[in-house]
Amino acid sequence: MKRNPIFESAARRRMRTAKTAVILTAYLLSLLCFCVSQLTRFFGGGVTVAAMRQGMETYIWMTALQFLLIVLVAPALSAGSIAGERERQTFDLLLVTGVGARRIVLGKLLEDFSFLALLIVSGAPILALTLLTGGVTAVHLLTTLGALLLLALAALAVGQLASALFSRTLTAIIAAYLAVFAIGAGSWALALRGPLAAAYTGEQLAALSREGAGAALAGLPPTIYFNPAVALVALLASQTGILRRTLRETLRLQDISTAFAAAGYGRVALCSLAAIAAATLALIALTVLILHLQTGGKHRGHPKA
Amino acid sequence: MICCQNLQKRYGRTRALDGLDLRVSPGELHGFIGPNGAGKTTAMKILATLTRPTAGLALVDGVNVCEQPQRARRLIGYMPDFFGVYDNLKAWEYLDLYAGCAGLSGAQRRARIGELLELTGLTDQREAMVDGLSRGMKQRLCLARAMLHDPKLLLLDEPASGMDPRARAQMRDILREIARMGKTVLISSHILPELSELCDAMTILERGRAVFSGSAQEMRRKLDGDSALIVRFAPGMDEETAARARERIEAACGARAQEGEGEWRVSAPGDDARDAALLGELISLGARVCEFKRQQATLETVFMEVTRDETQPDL
Ligand SMILES: Nc1ncnc2c1ncn2[C@@H]1O[C@H](COP(=O)(O)OP(=O)(O)O)[C@@H](O)[C@H]1O
Ligand SMILES: [Mg+2]
Repeated sequence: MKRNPIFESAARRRMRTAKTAVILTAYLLSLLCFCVSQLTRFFGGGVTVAAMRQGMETYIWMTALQFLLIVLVAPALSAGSIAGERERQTFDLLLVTGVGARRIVLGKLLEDFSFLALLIVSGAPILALTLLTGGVTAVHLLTTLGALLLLALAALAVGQLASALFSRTLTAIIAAYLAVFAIGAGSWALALRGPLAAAYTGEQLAALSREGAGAALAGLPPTIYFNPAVALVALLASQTGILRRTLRETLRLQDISTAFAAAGYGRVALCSLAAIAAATLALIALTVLILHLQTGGKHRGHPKA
Repeated sequence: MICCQNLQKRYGRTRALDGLDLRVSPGELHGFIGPNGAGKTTAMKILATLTRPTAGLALVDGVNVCEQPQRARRLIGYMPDFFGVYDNLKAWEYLDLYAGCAGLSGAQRRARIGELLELTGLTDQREAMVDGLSRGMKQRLCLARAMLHDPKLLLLDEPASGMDPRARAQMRDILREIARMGKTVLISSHILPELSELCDAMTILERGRAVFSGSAQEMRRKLDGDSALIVRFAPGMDEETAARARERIEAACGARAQEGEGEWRVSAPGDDARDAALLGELISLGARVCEFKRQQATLETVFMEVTRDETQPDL
């Protein structure tokens, strides 16, 4: 692949500011403090069953924290990418070089992604502390890391689409947060009580689960697969038994957990991540298309002969 | 190199361009002059493929900028009137970014950046952060940026605006150098003298239309009727000689002489042979001539003249 000058330049600028170092340090320190404060039993008394359970809980909490980081940071990060260039009056200068919409979009996205990935990946060794207690394996950890990176890219793609649509950064940021919230809440709400979920009752699910995993997967309301939280919860539940019980007993999501169990938590997670990956690619392509229409061939406004 | 025909651009009810015709020949340094709001920036943005005209045709080196913007972008170097720079970026890195976007390879970039920093006198600022440069330096850096891909045509929108006289002179020298390199340059300004000695040709824009287009000499010639003969006499000339001198001058020029502060001014078209004969006559009369000169209409007055009819109704 050809080197992307927009990515290289932006990455260089990002790494030059003290802000980046401060953010990274603060984030890792708080993650570390949280982790150590949770693993009391392990640090207090070594490897016991109770310490192992605590390790798995800590692992879940820290993954949730990283997910929260993504949801809070990513939309604002990428919402500034194109709108910010417009606002700073540098966008025209980029365009007249003849660099296409695709390279602008990919360059900016890659740069924002590499920053988020830096945060997430540097947090991984701290997450890996939970390996000490047993219960969590390295494969679990790496799979979760991969899922988090994908979700980060997805959230960034939403923000960037907003950035291409709105010329003011602030408007784009607000639109990006609203969109992320709408995707999360909307896909869940549609799954639970929308028209798609009309046939979604406990008995039918029980029947589906007797027919096998494939039928159970197909029987779940499709929008649920686009919910990033669902993807992550299903993944963590497939790795640790704890979360399955929490879903069923503490959160009282009887139907969902029955359906997930019937389909297999791992398979639900995989389907969901695949759906999100496809949606992300579609979003990126849409952003490229929109930017191209705005700048490349046809401009905004309708010329009259 | 540039050919615009009946170019129109409307923003709602504002007519930013109202049938602009513009022709710029290859290798020409073409001044694009007009008061604020005349439509210079709009025309340049259209040529730079950043805005689409409401109607009309715009060609750059035969390429229609609306239909083949990517091809046109390779021919054009554009420097906008307002632009931003990134923070935390060094001058050479700034140029390197745009060179990369324009598709120059690593080795090409290094050589080209060196040349352009040299041309714009920024070699010493190579490692300086762009957001810390002075306004004049930023403008020159932006000019260097516009030339990275070695375009045939440069569109410079008020490149000297907001600069002090020294920086302006520096910019002028750079522009002369660029003209020597054989580039075609369209340069806009709302201040006429800034471009008067510099340009080969100029177009004067007023409310979205060209009200004059031609070489600088043509413009002077067109308004040569406005040039004046100025004669100054040493003090202590007797009244009779003075009266006869006035008679001679007015007869030769066919216009009334206006007197003020010891000098007489007669508006008349230039004619070197007649002027020489007149000077001989005045001296043989015994008039104590100490200054005898023809004052060209300055381009500033030309500008006022050219745009007068258009600006009157506003007053
Ligand atoms: N984006 C825009 N939206 C609305 N009106 C505009 C816009 N750009 C320029 N105009 C109007 O078009 C006219 C010409 O502007 P401009 O081309 O910037 O003139 P100049 O560069 O000669 O000062 C002005 O009346 C200006 O107000
Ligand atoms: Mg302007």
